[in-house]
Amino acid sequence: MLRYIKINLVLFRNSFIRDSQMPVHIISSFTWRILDIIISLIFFNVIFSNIQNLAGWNYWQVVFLYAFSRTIILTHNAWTKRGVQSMATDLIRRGEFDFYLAKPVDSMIMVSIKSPRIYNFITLAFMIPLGIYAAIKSGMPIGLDNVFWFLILAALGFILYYFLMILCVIPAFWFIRLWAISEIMDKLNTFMRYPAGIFSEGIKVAVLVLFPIVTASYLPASILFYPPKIEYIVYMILITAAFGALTRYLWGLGVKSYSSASS
Amino acid sequence: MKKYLTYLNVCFRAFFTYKADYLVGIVFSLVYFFIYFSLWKAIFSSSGQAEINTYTLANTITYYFVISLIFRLDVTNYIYLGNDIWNGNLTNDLVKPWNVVSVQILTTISDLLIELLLYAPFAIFIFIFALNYIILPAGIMVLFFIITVLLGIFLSFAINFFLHALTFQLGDQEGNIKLVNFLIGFLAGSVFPLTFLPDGIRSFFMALPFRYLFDFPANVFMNKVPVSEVFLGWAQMLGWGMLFIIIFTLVYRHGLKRYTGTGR
Repeated sequence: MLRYIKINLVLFRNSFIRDSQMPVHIISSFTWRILDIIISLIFFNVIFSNIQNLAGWNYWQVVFLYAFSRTIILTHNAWTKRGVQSMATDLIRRGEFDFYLAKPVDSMIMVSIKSPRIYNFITLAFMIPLGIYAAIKSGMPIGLDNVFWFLILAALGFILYYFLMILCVIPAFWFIRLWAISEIMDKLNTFMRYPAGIFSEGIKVAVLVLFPIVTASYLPASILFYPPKIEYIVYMILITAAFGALTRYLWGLGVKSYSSASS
Repeated sequence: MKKYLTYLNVCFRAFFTYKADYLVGIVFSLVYFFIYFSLWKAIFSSSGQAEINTYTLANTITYYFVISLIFRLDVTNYIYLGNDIWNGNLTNDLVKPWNVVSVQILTTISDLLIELLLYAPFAIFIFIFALNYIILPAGIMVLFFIITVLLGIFLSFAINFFLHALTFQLGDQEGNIKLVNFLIGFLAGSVFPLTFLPDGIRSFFMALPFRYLFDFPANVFMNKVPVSEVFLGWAQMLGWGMLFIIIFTLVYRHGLKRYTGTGR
């Protein structure tokens, strides 16, 4: 564990030095994310100008859900996304994955943390306060037990999201040139910003069980606003563990089938 | 002319080499439609209203159906001029006996055509899924819609060529072009129908040329624009397009004089 923390710190420092050379890119990326926040808030205002609640969630609860889901996504964007995406775009196709297999570390973790974008963490300085403000303004009775269980489930949601990211790119082991899988999560992320109640039963099964991307954001947020339900907590633990095991298993299969031949 | 047709043929072949990649991309793009479908059904159900700012639920779902189609014809991801300028590949085209801009347009058009072709089965799937909510255009409006979309592609080409040509003067613009197109998409009504905006903000959005890229074609499709306004809209699209073409030509010609071809 200590070894991974040390490696991470070195990679963060490298990212800081490297990315500092590209101030225009940093500003552009930052502007993009701020614009996304503004557009999303305008959209929520449009929605709530016509209704009082969305599937039982008021305006500020939905804003909180948005801010929380974006916090998970942005943290992974800054930390693991580029590394995970490179599996689908470069590492397998060019045979560069050898480099990570040869190291005395876990190849899945090493690939994930190899290319952080440290400046992308800056957006969290807007997103986290927005989430806290929205939670306060929601008018919901939030007790210490809510906060406690929220933090536990949020951590699990963060880990679950990571496993889902990895699952998306694992097909790259077998389909050498399939870049589109590197962007699947970007498209599915949109599910996370709305309460699960708006979706039909079929979609709910898909996004809460089969590919539980909504579980990662919706369950922790529900625990914060409503009395903690033991079934939510147990489900979150079980599904995170199940997808963790599945991810590790499929990654192992992928590594076994990896031929190292580049195209 | 023959050389351009040969080039177009090569573009098609290159695209089909990796068709699985595009198919996966298209399949997962469908999630947006299903999210907005669920979202607006929930909104209309909660509000208890049959109409929101003159839009029924069917209008709204149709809007997103049309938007999903127009996204397939969005040139923004298929123009490579800026990248070619920045990495020096433009030199290869400049020394060949053809018009560089025409070749760029052909490349983009081949990408759009194949994307549209691959999307067709999925469009039918969406149509069947949301059959009760999708309003089809009547008679002549089909033709009007096709013309509007084509003019929208022309306008989008003009705007994006101008943005890409700025690479000559300002260096790598990839991030900025994506950023500007993201903003343009929002202003154009790619996120929600512009009619849902409050009056003051809507007037501002309507005064910009970008609404002709998404909102206007979708409204033409739904027969929500009087014929006289359709013609006026076309005139404005042509006018704005020509304006951006003129600016692009000036920037491009000036840029070519500065272009060293060394690449990054």
